[in-house]
Amino acid sequence: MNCEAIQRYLSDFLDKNLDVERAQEIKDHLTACSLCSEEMASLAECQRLVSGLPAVEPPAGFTNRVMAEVREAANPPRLWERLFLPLRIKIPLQATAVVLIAVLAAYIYQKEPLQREAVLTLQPESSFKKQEETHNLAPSAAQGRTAPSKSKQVAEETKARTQEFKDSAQLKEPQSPPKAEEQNKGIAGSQPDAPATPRAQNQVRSPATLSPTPLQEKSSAATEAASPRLEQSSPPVGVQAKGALAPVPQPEKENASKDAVAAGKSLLSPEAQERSAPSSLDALRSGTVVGVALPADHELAIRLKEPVRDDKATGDRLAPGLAQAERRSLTSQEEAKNLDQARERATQTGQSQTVWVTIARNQYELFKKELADLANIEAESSTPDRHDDAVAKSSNQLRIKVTILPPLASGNPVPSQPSSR
Amino acid sequence: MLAEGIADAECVRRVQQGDTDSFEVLVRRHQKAIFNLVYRLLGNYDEAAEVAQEVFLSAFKSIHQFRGEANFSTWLYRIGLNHASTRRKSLNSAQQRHIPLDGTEVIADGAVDPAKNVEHKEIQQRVQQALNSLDPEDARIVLLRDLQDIPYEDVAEMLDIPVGTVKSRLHRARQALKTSLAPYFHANRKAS
Repeated sequence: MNCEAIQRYLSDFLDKNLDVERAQEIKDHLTACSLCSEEMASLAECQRLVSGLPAVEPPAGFTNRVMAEVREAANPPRLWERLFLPLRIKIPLQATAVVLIAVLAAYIYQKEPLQREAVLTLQPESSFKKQEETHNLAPSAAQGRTAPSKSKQVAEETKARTQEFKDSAQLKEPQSPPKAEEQNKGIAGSQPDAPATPRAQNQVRSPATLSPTPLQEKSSAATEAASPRLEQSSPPVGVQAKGALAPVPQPEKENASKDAVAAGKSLLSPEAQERSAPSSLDALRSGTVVGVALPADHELAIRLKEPVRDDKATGDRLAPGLAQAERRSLTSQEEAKNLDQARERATQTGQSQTVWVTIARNQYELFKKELADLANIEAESSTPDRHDDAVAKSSNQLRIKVTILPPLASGNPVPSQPSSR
Repeated sequence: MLAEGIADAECVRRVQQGDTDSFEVLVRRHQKAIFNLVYRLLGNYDEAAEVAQEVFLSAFKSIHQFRGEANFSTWLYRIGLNHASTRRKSLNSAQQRHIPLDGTEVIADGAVDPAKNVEHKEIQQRVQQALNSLDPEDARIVLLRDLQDIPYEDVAEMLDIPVGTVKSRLHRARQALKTSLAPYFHANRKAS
C-alpha cells in the first residue's frame, strides 16, 4: 500500500480496530516511512490530549437540585398551591394586582361615556331597521286611537323616505343614527350594537302578532306606548326623529304625544336633544327635527325673514324657496324640498325646525348665500372633530345642520351679520 | 434507603412503577459522565450544569418510553447529546462561547509545579478550542470515542448511524483536530 492508503487506516490502527495482517502491514510501513510515522504520531497525540482532558466534577448539590425538580415533576403542585404559595410573597403581589386592576377599571369607567358615544355613532343600520319596523307596525298597534287613513299615509311616506335615506347612506359612508334611537334602545333594553337588531325588531312587534314571553311582554308594552306617538308625530317630510319613548304612564303619554305633535315639537328628551345637537340654539329644544340627526360639519341657525304677503285673500305666500328656485348648492332636490317645507312649518307654527342637508364641500359659501336670500344667518359654527374625520374628508361632502327659526314679529331687531360661535 | 448496588435496568423498572427515589441512584451513577460530555460539547461550566439538569429531568419525564432494548446509559447519552446540540446551536447564534480559565479545569495529576500547572491549563484550553471548532457531529464522535471511551457500536447506536460512518467521521475529526493543534505540536517538538 502507498502512503495515502496507509493514512486512511491510521485511525483504525490507533484504535486497534484492524485485523492482524492489516495491522502488521501498517506497522511495517510506519517503520519505513517517516512521513506516515509523523502523521501517526500526530494522531496519537491528538487522541491522548482529548482522552487526557480532566474530568470535571458537577457543581455541588447537583443531585439534590435534579431530584427536587424530578419530585416536583412527579407530584405537580395543585392549583391553589401554585396560585398562593408561598403566601408571604404571592398574597402581597396579588393584593397589589387587585388594587391596580380596580384603579384601572375606575379610570376606564370614567372614560366610558366618551367611548359609548363613539360606538353609538357607528350603528346606523340597526337604527334604521328598527325605525323602519316601528313605522311599519305603528298603525296596527294604534288602531282606534287616531284616524287610520292619515296614519297609514304618513307611515308609508315615512317608510319610503327612510328606505331612500338608508340607500343613500349605504352608498356614502357609515353615519351615526339619530341620538333618539339611543333613547329608544335604552328603554326597550336592547343592546346598542348591530347584532342586537333582531331583538330590537322583536321588541317593536305588535302584541297581537306575538304571544309574549316575559321579555317580549316588556318590550311590547314599550312598543304600545310608543306607537301612537310614532304614528301621529310623523310629519309629511323627512325621516322624523320624534320616536323617542319616554317611560311615562300610557294615558299621559298619549296626551303628551298628541299635544307635542300638534305643537310641532320634538318628543326627544332635553338630554337626548342636547346630545344629538350639542351646540344647537335653545330654540331648537322645542323645535321639529327634519332629516336624520347625524354629526354635522357645520351648523347654521337662520332666522326667517318676514313673509312676503302678496295676496291677503289666499293667505300668506312665502317667497320661492330653495326647491322652487333653481338652487345650485344642494346636491339633492329632495333636501331642498325638505328645507322649504321646514321653512313653511316654522313660519306657520312659530316653532323652530332643524334640517340636515348635504352639499359639496366647495358649495358651502354658495349655500350660505342662498340661505341669506331667505333668512338672516344668526349663528354659524363648525365641528372640529368632524373635520378631523378622514372618512368625512375623503367624501368631499359637507353635512350641514340648519336650524330654522321662525320670523320675529315686526319691529324686533334682527342681526344682519352672522356671528360665529 | 437507596440501593446503590442495583442495576440500571432495575432502577428504571422501579422508577417506571412510581418509585421516584430510585431515580436518584441513576442520577448519582451517571451525572459525572453526562456532565463532562455536555461540558466538553459546550465549553461552558454553567451552561453544562443547566443542560445536565435538563437532561436528567427530561429522562425522568420520558422514562416510561424507555423499553430496555438498549442500555440506560446509551439512552441517557442520546438525550444528553440532543440537549447539548440544541444548546450549542443557540449559544453559537447568541454569543461567542468561551473557555473557562478560572480554575474550573481540574488538573488530573495534581501538579504541584505552578509552571506545569499553567502549561496543563494552556494545553486543555487549546484542545477545548479545537473541539469547539469541529463540526458538532464530529465533535460528538470524538468525545464519545476518545473521552468517554465508548465502543464504536454504542456510538453508532447513540447517534443512530452505521458503524462505518462512525469510523470515517472519527478519522475526519481527528485529522481536523490534528490540523488545529499542529502549531502546538511543532512548538512542543522544538522545545523538546
